[in-house]
Amino acid sequence: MAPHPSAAEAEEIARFLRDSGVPSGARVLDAPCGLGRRAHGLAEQGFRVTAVDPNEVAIQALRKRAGRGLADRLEYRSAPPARLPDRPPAERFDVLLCLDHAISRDPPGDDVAFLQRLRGHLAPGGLLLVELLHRDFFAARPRPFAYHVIGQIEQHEFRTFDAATGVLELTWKFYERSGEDLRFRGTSAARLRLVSPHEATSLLESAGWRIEALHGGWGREPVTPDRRKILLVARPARD
Amino acid sequence: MSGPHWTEDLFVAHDEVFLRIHEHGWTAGEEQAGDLRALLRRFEVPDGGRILDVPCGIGRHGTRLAKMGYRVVGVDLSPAYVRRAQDLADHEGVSERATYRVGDMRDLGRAIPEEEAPFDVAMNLWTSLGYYGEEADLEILRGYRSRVRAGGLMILYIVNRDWVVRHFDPQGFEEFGDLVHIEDRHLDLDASWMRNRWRFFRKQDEDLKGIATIALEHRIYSLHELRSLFERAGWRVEGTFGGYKMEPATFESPSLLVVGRN
Repeated sequence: MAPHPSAAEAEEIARFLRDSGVPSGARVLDAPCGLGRRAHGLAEQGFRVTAVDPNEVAIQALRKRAGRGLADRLEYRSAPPARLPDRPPAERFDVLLCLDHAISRDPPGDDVAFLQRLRGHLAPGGLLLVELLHRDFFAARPRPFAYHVIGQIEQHEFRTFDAATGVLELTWKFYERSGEDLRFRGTSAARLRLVSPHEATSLLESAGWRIEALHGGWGREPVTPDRRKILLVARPARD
Repeated sequence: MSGPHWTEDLFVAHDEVFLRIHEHGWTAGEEQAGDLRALLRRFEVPDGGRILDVPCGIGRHGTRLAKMGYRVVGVDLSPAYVRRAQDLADHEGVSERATYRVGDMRDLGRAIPEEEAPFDVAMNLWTSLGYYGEEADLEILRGYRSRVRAGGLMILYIVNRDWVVRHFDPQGFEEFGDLVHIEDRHLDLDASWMRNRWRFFRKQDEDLKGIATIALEHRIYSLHELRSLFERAGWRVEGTFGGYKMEPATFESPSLLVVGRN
């Protein structure tokens, strides 16, 4: 059986971290962690992961799923969005992960304050990784539809991108595959303010971070309009 | 190749599905037929001339052109589309000037007996070439020529490969009333073939009930290739356009319109 896509992604991230000089067993903060797609896999890869998210229901479910096997390496916490990551002031991590376009949402949150709070939790020599959808990709390819298959679930994604505001509106419909039929299982939506690489850079810089590298993905691909995501590697402006 | 060709699958075995898409395109045919008349006049086809429309679908162009006075014979692989074309021609009061019959564009000699020729114009519209490969396309274009008079026209309207490359989108979604069409597209650059999977669904409340899944493949061409195909088939290319309005052909034209003279 093919590995679960999120496991494969966690592996890519783990490789990226090791190649960046982060040892297995390093402390990782994943905030917000969403549905724990990466946190679980990174714990399996040997990292000590603290995963925080405002979605309490998801956090409860993730705790159950994590079970005892990873209990010493994987901790799930819920926190109100305005207080993320909501960790004790003295707690420090070697790696801070802010993935899945968690900032630059619409309506806008206080991204600068959040990025500043993250800075306080970075251990000496640590790094911040921010992953954002790439505006240039969506501006160059205004694709209205895509679908993804995860196991028996088929997720239909409908997109509208407004170049004037930079807002990408995503609507998802989830179906369960049953032969040729698709049984409706639910819907969700998000509004993201997409940024180009130079805007992402200046957002992080205004929160006291220095950009060390900009990649088009976990394989350190160059950033081009053909890459759907931008990955920013940052360290504090004054270490 | 095993099993029937996808054209049989899509246009005959699952005729009711694609018929819905034809019906959806019926309205657009009105304006396109008007544009075609302007094109026919520009290339000096006499008003009321004889047009061979293959494949004709439900006659969205042919029946409109018949209403403008042209005499149209349409041929299509699908008995269901031909019946619908006849009904619509009846309904529009032009069943004497627009007649439709079942036939295969690869065997026009059989669909159109010699004594019915020659026509002033042959048309192949809405990306209906490339289904059987380049060699077959050459024969198809020669087949049209065998039924068109010296000095008559060939009109081809087909997707522009350069546009597909520039705007390639691997997945597509379209709704036609309660019919949902989800497309997976693969562009085989080695051969310049589109290899697609089409899934059709009927909406049932929020569920999507699967109706048909069809794998279809067709050769796509850039303009210089179409020009060469025309010339090899004995047509002199007299016009190349980016659409029915005779706009210039560019990389950004989703479709190309090529006019050849016999």
